[in-house]
Amino acid sequence: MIAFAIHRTIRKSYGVPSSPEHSVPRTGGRSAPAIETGRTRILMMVGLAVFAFTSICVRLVDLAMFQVAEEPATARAAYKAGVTTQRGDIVDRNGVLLATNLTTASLYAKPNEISNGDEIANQLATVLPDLDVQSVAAKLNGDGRFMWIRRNLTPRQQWRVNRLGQPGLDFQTEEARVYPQGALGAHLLGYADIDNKGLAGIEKAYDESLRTNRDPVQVSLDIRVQHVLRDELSRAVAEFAAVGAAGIILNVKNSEVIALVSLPDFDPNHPSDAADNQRFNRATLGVYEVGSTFKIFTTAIALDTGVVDLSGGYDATQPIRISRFTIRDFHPEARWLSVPEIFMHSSNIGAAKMALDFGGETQRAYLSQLGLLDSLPIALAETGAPMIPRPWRSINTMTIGFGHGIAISALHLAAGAAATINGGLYNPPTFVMGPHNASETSPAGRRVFSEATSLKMRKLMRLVVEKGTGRKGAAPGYLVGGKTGTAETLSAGNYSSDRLLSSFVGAFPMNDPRYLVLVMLDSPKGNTKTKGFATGGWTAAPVVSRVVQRMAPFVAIVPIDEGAPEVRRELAIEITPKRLRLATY
Amino acid sequence: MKTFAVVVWFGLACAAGFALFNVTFKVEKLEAELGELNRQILDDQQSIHILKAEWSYLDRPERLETLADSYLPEFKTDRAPVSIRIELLPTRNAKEAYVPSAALSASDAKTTIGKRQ
Repeated sequence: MIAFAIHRTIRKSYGVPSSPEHSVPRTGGRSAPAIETGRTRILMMVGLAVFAFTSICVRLVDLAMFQVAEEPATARAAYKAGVTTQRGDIVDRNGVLLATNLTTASLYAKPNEISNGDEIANQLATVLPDLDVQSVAAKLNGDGRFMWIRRNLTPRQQWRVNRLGQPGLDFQTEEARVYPQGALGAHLLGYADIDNKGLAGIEKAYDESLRTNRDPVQVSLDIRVQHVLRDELSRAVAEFAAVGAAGIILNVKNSEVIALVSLPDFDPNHPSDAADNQRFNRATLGVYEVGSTFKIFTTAIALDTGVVDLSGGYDATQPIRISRFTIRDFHPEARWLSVPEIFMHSSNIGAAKMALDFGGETQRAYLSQLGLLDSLPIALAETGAPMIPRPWRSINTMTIGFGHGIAISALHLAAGAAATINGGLYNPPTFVMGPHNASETSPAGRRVFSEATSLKMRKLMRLVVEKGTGRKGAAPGYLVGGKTGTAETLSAGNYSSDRLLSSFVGAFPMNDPRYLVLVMLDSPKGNTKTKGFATGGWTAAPVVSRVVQRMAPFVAIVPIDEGAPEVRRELAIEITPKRLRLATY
Repeated sequence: MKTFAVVVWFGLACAAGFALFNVTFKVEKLEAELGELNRQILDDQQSIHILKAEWSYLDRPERLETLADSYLPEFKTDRAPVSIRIELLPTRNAKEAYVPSAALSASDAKTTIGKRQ
């Protein structure tokens, strides 16, 4: 079109008539060179125009088809990002959600824009019945610029407040930390404050990671097993009117914590409602003199160092008197006892003599290898430091032999006991799985005892449940082995027989242990069912028995026939070697 | 001939203009649609996030046990184990010979089955 217009203009300017019959220019006239010049010019103009338009076209095609990267980014998909929260989720080992952030609305007011404070306060009280009407009304009538009325409303409350139609009220979108499983796992998970800052447990230990990382933190708990343990412990606490209880289930092979309960517990959704007693973690923070369960270590050390053999033994006829202490047996047999007998009858005299045999130095070295003399290398802030005697005299060596004079946490005990039965390898306990697990120890563990010692310990622990003090810990088909413990606790500087710490460390199946169950009851009271006894064998062992039976299906352990010859052979142990009996009598 | 060319070029120009605007409007519409979809997806993700928390809440072992107690009375056995070895299940045909495993005696099998029933 433009070229056409140019053509017309040129014709006009040269006085050429526009009619078709005169359209052929005359040549050979005086104006011929001028016409030639004109044509050349026209051609040049056309050439320029064509060049300009072609380049514009090329650029257009280029922009339209090949310049994808410079397109505006409106077409980008937004959904890949997903829901972003201020704090990551916590899930259990099977991916069950244990903690998450939900968007909520928080109600605030601008008092300087409100004239009818009393009316609003009264209206709000119909939606939020526990609102302190007077103080809110007073604040609303003031001339502040901002005040929170209630944070983290439920959707229904928000709707009802909206329906009041008061212009001075407004909502701020916030995030609230929610623990759908309630008190289950509360002590391990911990809790976060209203501003989403971790204050205890995993929430505190992995605070940074939860804030910055989008992936959930996976804890090693199995919430089903956790429930079983909590349920059975609660029952025992109610039955024996105990002050509290602690329970731990460990994977024997790698010391992963499968369940960890401390009673009384609390609802992490409302941590401020909980008393200090409820928030206290008895499983990891509380340190106790655990009593006879400690004989697991004493016996293992004695067997490992070779100071005594399974066929050896000690004279437990007389209580030991040393300085102002007397070491006596709770279940006195008052005779020479073989090592298996010392273990199954839980003889303090025997254990003390055993400890004296291998000596304080060795004891200290082994206990240190078992991680019992230092705080556990775990991320939790709620970690109790063991109380150990300084200096370590021979009286200490003897009392530590049967679990007195040293205070450790339940988790210390569980991890140490796992090392004695899993083939002799110590692994520090862990709570977290996957990329968040920063544990530096190799999965192989640290060798403390020999394989042979470990096998002997398995046999001994099975013996305790089969014939010794832990008979109530048996769970038919699951080959439970264990050790009872009953310690008098210190109150006002004296050991009191009214306040016992009754415990049972069990593991199953004993021919190839997979899980360790530790139950500890604080100050249980005996009842008619237990014939008045409140010892570990009567109170804690039955809990372990029930926990094992209930948890086994979840962890895919099928019951076996405990009486089968190959099973019996595997764990066979001679209690009173004839050779020695002849020699002694 | 020239008129024809003019008409053709004019027609082409109009067509190009029309096509251009048509495409532009279509793209705008699609972009709006995409924006709406993205918003919906985010909304849905938010709902799924809340539903997950709700599911975890409804899935509490404690609650499941209560429900099982009321709706599955056959399992209400004081929380006793409900799993046994497959060999211990009674055979469908009573005449079928029962072959006990090496680790199990037939009498054990009977007592366990008895307990379960």
